[in-house]
Amino acid sequence: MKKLRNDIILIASILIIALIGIILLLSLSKRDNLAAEIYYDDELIMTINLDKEAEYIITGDVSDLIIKTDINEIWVSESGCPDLICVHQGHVKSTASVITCLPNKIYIKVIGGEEVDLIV
Amino acid sequence: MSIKRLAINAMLMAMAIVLSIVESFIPVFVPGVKLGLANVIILIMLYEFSIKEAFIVNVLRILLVGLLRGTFLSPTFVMSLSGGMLSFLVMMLFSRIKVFSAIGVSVLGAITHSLGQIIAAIFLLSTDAVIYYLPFIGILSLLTGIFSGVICRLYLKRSITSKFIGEE
Repeated sequence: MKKLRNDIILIASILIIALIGIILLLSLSKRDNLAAEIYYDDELIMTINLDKEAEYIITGDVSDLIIKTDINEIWVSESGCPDLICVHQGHVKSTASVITCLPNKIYIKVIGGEEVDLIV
Repeated sequence: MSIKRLAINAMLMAMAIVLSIVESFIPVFVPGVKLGLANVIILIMLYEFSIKEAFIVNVLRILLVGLLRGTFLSPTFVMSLSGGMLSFLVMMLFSRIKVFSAIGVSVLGAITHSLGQIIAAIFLLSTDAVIYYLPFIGILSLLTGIFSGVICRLYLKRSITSKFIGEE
């Protein structure tokens, strides 16, 4: 039964570390004046201000990605990649998250806060 | 290796492959996170069989699932290979060092599996942005790890393997 006790200690400590991580992430994240950076093959290819409804089409390695935006949110609405992780991730509304589409080598990073003067 | 043992190994591998494919249809809240049912088989093999057998089954499972799902050598495949290898290493160590029960080993395996996948994603996308996923995936891996650990524990308690292969 000593092993089970060790298990509980292990589970509790992982839980605490992960919860601290989530709290830190959420408290440090910003939700206003957001912009999104779209990277392809680790190169910044586009910066979008998330201040209006819009639709963008980005071509990746496997397929096209249809990216939609609204005020302070962004999501991938369609992709031709096999596992559709990017689409299932849904709407991103804060800087505490990234949308990745690994097969297409595309990732979308949400930046925000004071940086309103963007060079597009 | 006796024929009986070989047959059991093959059967366990078939089960691991089927579980890998089936679980890819079961969503677990966060996209990309899976239940890790195939891990149950690898864990059982680490406890009841040799490290070599468990390793072969694990590698072949990843290769065959990659071929069956058509993801062979794709980024998804690299991620599952990296996660599978890291979690195998950790589970192998902790199944031999008797600090944790099967549940603890399974939790460590699940966490390091996601960790391996995230490390692979960092290299594939050459960005550390995916680290954001870590705490969320960590909590989910904890739950899936406990789940498969409990299954493994129930199996080990019943000494099913020795009923099949005899006194080996």
